[in-house]
Amino acid sequence: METYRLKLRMKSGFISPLQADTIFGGLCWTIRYAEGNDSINSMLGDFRSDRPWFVLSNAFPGDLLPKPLMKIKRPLPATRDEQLLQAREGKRLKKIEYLTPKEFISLISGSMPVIENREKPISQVSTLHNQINRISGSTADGGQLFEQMESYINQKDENNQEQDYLSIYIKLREPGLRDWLLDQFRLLGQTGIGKRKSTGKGSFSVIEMEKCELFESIKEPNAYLSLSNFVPRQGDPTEGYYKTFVKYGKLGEEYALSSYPFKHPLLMIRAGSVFFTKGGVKPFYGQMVENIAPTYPEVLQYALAFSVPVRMNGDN
Amino acid sequence: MKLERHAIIKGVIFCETGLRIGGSNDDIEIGGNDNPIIRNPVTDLPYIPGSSLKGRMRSLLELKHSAITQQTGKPCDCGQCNICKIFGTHGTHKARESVLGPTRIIVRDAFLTSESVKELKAANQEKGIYYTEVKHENLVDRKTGKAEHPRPNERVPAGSKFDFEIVLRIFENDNENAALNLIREGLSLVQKEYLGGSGSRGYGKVRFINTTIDGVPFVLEEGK
Repeated sequence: METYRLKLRMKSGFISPLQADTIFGGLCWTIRYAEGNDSINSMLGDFRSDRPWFVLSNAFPGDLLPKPLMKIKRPLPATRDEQLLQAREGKRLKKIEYLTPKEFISLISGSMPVIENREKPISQVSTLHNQINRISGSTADGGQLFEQMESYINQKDENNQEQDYLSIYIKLREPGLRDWLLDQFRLLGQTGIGKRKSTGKGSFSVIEMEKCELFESIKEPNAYLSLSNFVPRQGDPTEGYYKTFVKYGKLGEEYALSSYPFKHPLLMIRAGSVFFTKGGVKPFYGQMVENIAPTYPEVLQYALAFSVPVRMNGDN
Repeated sequence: MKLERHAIIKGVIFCETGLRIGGSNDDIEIGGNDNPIIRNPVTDLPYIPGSSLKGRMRSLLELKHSAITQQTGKPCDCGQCNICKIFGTHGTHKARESVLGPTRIIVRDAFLTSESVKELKAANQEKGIYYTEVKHENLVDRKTGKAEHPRPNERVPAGSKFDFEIVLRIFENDNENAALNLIREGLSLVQKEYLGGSGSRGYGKVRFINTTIDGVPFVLEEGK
């Protein structure tokens, strides 16, 4: 599978975090609306039978990538001062969420780079909204006030140049799918992803989709890192470093208007988790989760892992 | 449902009077303004949220066409009319009973035009105003004629321009003309009334200029 990098410029803030399954859900609706049920059913059929047309990563701000969850071997502190220094350094590193490509590649190649502090690349702001009383024109007497958390990209590169885009890494089954997928993303950008699409949240324009060879330099990998949240399937590696969270998914578009628009809660593994492999690294791990929405049994939850080879010096 | 196409309406919102769309201020500063407007958190420039324009269009259309709204003052939730279809059915319960499908309209946030950013930046350097003006208001005691409760209101100065974009999703069997006429009417009503707050005392008079649909002129009202 060939890897591409898609750069998106957000037209305003976004509310739902742009995780791989949310992006996949948006794409499915776009394909269904644009090409009809047969097209989406044929695509999902291949995803079900372990032949995905494409594998998506979560969206990351600018060029940044998630901090890998890895155990780094460091020399034992000889003095109390060294012990204190290491504790402080550990605490500092814990707060860092994203790494530059250079730091990321160096870390997954088995060396320990110097990781610098940086500002949070995504700022979250709370905005207040009103529902006005149509007759009085005011928020009093039947009007309502509610709060909404919106996210904005606030990322600059090493030269202080603004990186006002999001990056999604994509593995394609066939290179011929590139243009088709690009068209689907362009259509999706018109509508937007996630909550409050009708007021412009989550809408974007596509900057470019180019081949990405960033992860191909890792020699003799013995582990993989996932760039997307996922659910492992039977037979996937189980030894590694990972964090889990519970996803409370919701159906989109017209299914969101059904009597029960929620999906079952799903335990997922976070992007950045690392698992030891025996032998090579597969292009993807994880599975498509069936029977996730009680109202619509045909709905599939995207839970594939976008794998990146890793050379770990720790225990295997 | 099959999506036929996206119709894209673009144009410029021209503020004929000062425009105030309230924001929130997390910081308490001595001498700071406690009635700030909404700003983009990254660039700190004022903008018009899509929700403000969409909400204003919807509320004016409902007041004109919906019997439910005319009686209660609340948003129409009939789940049958064109407003519910295009702007989205209001209210969870009715939305789920409705068969109208997804919301057809997407109103994006409107950002200052580059020309306006330049002008306001110059004003910032010359007059010290930070892309906005502060208008002081007070309440006059009717007997003594003395001013009470002075308050500063921040607003975007008259003459500012914002780029706006509205996307209409047209599905098969949708009546495109009816949808476009509703949007046209909504925008015309906003022009006749106001956008943002304090409209009854002159704030928020706006005009939609250079409006196009898919690049072709989109006339809001006949003869204009």
